[in-house]
Amino acid sequence: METRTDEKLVQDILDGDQDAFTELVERYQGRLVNYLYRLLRNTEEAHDVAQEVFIKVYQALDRFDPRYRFSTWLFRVGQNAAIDLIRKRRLKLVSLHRQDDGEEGRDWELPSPDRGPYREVRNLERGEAIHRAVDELPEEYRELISLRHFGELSYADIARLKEMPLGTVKNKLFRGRQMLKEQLADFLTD
Amino acid sequence: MSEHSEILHQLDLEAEGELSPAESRRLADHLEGCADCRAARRQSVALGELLDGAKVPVAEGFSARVMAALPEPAWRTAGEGAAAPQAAASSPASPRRALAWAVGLFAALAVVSTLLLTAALGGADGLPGGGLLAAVGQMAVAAVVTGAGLLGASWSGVGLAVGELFTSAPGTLVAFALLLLFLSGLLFVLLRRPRQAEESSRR
Repeated sequence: METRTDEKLVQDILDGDQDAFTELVERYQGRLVNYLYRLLRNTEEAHDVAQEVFIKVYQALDRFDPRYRFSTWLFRVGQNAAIDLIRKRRLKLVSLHRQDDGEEGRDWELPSPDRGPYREVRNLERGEAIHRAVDELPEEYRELISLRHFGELSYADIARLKEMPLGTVKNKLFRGRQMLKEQLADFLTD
Repeated sequence: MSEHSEILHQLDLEAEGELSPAESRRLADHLEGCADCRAARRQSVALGELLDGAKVPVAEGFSARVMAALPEPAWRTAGEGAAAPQAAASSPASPRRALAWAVGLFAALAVVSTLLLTAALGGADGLPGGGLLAAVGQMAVAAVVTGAGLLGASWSGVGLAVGELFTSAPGTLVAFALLLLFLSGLLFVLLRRPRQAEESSRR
C-alpha cells in the first residue's frame, strides 16, 4: 500500500478520516516524545506534553497551510509547549527560593532499566553520559543536535524550522557532532 | 576548506543520509585509499548509533490515549454550521434589525414631540384637529413646567431657573425635548448592544 504523505493525511482528516490522524500520531510520536524528552529531561512530562501537542495540532488542523511541512509545524508547537512548561518550572523554583538556572541543574530522569533502552547499569551510565555531553554543547549546537538526532528532522526541515540557511545548519551540526565525538570518545572506541 | 576537512564534512553528511548519490560515489573513491578517513567514518557512524541508543521508548498505548483525548475540533463544528445555511444567515440580521427599531422609534418620538410642541406654541391653529393637538401640546408643556416646579420645590434655585427658562424662552423647551429624546434613543441602543453581543458569542 502506498504511504500517504503528511499533507495528504491532513487533508484526509479534514475530509472526515479520523484514522488518518492515528497514522500521523504513530508516525511522529517517537520523534516528538524523544525531542521533548531532550528538552524536559523527564519521560512522563515528555509524553504529557506530546499528547497536548497532538491535541493542539488536531484542533488547529484547518489552519495548516499545505505549502509548509507538517513536521516543522508539529515541532514548532512542541518546542513552544516545552518552553512554556520550562518557564512554569522556573517560576516554581523562584517561589521556592532555590538557586537554579532553569534546566541547567535539573537531573536527567532516565527511564527505569527494565523499560528503557538502558537494560544494564553500563547502559544507564552511557545514556546519562550522552545526555550530559549534549547538554554541555553551546546552545546553538545543542538545539540543532536535539532536532536532528532526537526529533529526526531532516536538515532541510531544521533549516525551515530555525529559519536558517541550509549551509549554516550543516556547519553547525558538523561542529556539534565533532564536539560530541570528543566528549564521548570513551564510548566511541568500544 | 582543505580536502581532508571537506571529507570530514561529507562523512558526517553520509552518516546522516544527507549525501547525494554522486557525492557518495566520490567519497567512496576517496575512502578506498585513505585509512584516516575510514577511521573517521567509523566514528561518525558510531556516534549516530550511540545517540540513537539514548532514545526513550514511547509508552505503550500512547497513540490510543491521544486519540481518546481528542476533543471535537472547532473546524468540524464550523463545517456542520455551514451545512445549516438558514441558521447562519439569520444571525447577522439581528444587529441591523435592532438598529432599525431604535432609529424608527427615535424618529416617531421626535415627530410626535415636535408636533405637540408646535401645537402648544400656537403653530397648529390652522391645521385640522389643531385645537386638540394644541390642547395636548399645552398639557405636555404644563407637565414639564409642573415637573420643573416640583423640582424647584425640592431643589429650589435650579428648579425655579429651569421653570423660568422654559416659560420665558419656548425655543429652549424644544431643544430640551429633543435632547431628552436623543438621550432616550441612545440609552435604548446601548441597552440593546450587550444583548446582541451575548447572542453573537452563543453563535
